[in-house]
Amino acid sequence: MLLDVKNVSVRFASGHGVQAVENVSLTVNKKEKVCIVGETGSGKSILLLAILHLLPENAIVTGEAFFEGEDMIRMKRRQLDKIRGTRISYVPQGSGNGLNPLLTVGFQVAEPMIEHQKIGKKEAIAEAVKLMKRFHIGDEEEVAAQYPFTYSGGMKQRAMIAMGIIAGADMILADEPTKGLDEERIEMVVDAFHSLKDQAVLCVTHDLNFAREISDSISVMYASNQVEYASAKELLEHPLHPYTQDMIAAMPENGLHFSEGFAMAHEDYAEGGCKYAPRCRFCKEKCKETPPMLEVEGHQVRCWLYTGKEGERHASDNGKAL
Amino acid sequence: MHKKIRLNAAATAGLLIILFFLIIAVFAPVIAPYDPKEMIASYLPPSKEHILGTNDVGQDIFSEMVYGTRVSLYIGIFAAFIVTGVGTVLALVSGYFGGLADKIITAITNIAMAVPSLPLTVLLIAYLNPGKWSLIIAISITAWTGTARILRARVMQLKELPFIKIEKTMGVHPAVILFKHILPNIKDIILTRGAMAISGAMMTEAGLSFLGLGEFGEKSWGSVLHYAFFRNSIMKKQYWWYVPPIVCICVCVLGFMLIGYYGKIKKGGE
Amino acid sequence: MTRHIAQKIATAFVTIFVIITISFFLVHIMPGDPVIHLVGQEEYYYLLDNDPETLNKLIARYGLDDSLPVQYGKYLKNIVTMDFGPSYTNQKPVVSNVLKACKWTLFLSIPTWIIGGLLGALLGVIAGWKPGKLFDKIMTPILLIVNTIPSNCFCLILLIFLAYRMKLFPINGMVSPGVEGMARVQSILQHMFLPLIIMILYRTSGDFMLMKSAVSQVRSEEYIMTAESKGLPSRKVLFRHVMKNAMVPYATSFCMQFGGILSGSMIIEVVFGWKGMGTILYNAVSNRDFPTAQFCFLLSAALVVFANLISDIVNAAIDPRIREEGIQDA
Repeated sequence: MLLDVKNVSVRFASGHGVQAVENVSLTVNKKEKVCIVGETGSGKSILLLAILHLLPENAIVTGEAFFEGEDMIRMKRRQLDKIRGTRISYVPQGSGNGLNPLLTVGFQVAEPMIEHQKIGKKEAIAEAVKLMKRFHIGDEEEVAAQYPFTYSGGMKQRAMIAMGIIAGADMILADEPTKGLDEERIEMVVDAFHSLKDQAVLCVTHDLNFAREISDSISVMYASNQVEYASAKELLEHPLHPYTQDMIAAMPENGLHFSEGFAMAHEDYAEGGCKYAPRCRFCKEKCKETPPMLEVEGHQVRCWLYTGKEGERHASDNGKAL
Repeated sequence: MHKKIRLNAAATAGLLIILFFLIIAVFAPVIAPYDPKEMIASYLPPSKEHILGTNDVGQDIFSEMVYGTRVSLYIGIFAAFIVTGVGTVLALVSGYFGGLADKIITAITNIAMAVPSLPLTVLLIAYLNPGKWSLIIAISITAWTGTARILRARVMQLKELPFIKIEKTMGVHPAVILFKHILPNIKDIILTRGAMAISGAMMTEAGLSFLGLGEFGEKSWGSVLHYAFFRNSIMKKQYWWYVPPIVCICVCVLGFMLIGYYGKIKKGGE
Repeated sequence: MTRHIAQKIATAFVTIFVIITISFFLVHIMPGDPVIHLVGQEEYYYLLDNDPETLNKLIARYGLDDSLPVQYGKYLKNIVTMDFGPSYTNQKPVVSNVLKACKWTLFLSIPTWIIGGLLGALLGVIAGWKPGKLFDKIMTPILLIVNTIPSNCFCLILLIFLAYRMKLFPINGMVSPGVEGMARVQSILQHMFLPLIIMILYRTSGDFMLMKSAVSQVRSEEYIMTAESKGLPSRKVLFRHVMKNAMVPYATSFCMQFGGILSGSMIIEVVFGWKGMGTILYNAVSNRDFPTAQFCFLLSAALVVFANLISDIVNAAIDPRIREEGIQDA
């Protein structure tokens, strides 16, 4: 097991104290590709940043995230600096502002290598150019000497994937790599992920198709909770949680069957209870209580529908009531 | 956007300070024991009759200060009103409509920013007939640029918001969009900029009046300080003459600044 | 890049021209006879009633009897040849009068510009890098209050305590009379200490606020998160990523402040009897010495425009977006 996330919760101390992530657990093995799927605001990106210690100071993170046996949540800055970028690295959103506008892309891609492998700037940039060619960002060296504002979102995304693996990381944490990209560019990002044969990937996305393309396992998050977690094939073909079912039914190729209602804003959630209950077809009295994480047919699923069924077993320590 | 601006301690303190001075300004005739222009006897030290003594021509300094509150606030508030109003209107027009109007307004803003403000203000005062409104115009003439720039950037962001774009394509009249959607969204910036503009205008007024370039028909705090300084009250240790205007100017300017600065911070944090 | 700068230079020339033109018409669009401003209202009405001959002579002397375009042409010619005629007060050429005073202003404003600018930036970076920490909590209110004290009040407060009460510094003027050599230098330093300290404090507090907000804004950008995620130590994140971006607004403002080095210290100069550009302008306006006032105004405006131009060039040098595409406000 490369990364073992156990009961990670994130709370923001400002204002009313927003609970952004609640008791999420998942594991990533060597070379395994895992996607966390969920709507905007479900807390999936925050989970990623919490693992990497990239959240602002007002975030309170609890739980454990073991990377090669060491708990990153409790790690000190000096220790973090030794593994971030070279063993576990972060790939920001390409459509966002993840690259420094005043430095060349080539330098920024090479930066983890310069920092961790103590090699010269020139050689590192040469290495960056090689990688960038591999990801089809451009064939000429000049592309690396350009500044981020000349890049398209897709180019930035691929450059940042190169940045993630340049210093030899075994584990990539990627944030919404397809957001804001058109079909053609998504295709190129998919190719880039496919070429990451040796790295494990934990990728956050709202795009089920993309998740289907790249992942071995999928975890579904809804309103700061993990609702289902299974192998990609299982989850997409036999979704158990009503939310997962609704989400799959709403995909264009399945006929855009939307479930009614909206995901609520954080402050509107009642304390406890299933967060999906207000929109759920199967909602019943029991759903006012928080459902435990159950292990059913090889899935982990957080739903009262599956209690008392054959094969039910409380999943390892994940099901503690909150 | 319908949330109230929650005030923190600093902004509350600012508000109390301003309220205090506003009450004095409004009730000046009740509070002041004498007519500030009435000449009684020169250079009296503080006493029961004249708690801050009298000045070189025998006017009661306390009464001068009380009426000075009116003049200082009047100039500060009206100058800020012009500054903020002009800045807002220009920002709305150039930010929302863009195109030629934006080009022209941006060019005017850039030129106004290139004019050294204090020399121009001083020059204008020399040309204009003395009076409160000359001061107000001279103070406001270059001070609106900052507000205009900040608001323009904000308006340009806002007009790209989906719901505003939709209303635009639906053919809703620009005036309706501007008043219903854009203005409510920038009103917090306008208010904090307005508070800062008042403190800025009062500072400029205090400086100009202190130099003797202000309004002397009715004395502001700055004018009182002008006479105190140029009639050597510091040498003569007549602290009752020079201390009150310094304190009033500093405290009042600080009051407006606290609201402008900390009112904004609070908003940004949420 | 070249095109961008050429465009900026052209804009600067247009701006100067517009300011020159405005300052000419300022006199002529004001209500009443321009001569009123020359001699003052009371004098004007006195002359009008009792001595119209003198009034006409004055009008002829200042060329006010020409048609407006002719006057404008003469005015432009005078500016190009830097001939503003004699000062009304001491009859010496305006230009040399003012330039002599500028020297004294620069004694105060250049050290202010450099020391205040660097100090403010340094303190601002520290406060902005760790907002809400002790340093920020102490420095921000102090410098905010410094920034709110009107300069005349600030001058008087220091004068009262340090000069009048404690007699640490001279009260007024630039140099004690009758001293020569090193003693003269020492005397000048003593005289300039108080005004200089006040000016530096103001500059520091202004630049502190600017740098603090720039740093704390950049700090929350996504690319800073990226930099952290690469395992860079804080020091490198700060210098390589945060500072570089925070320098853009700071450098702009630092260059633009250069434009204020002649005109920014008027009140302080007058209070301390420092015979610089500010005092000259103040005296000129008080004595209706319009050629002097106008030249002071144009000179400081030219400097502001020049400084803005420099700031544009510096900006383009730092920011590739402006350099390569001419994108502003990026």
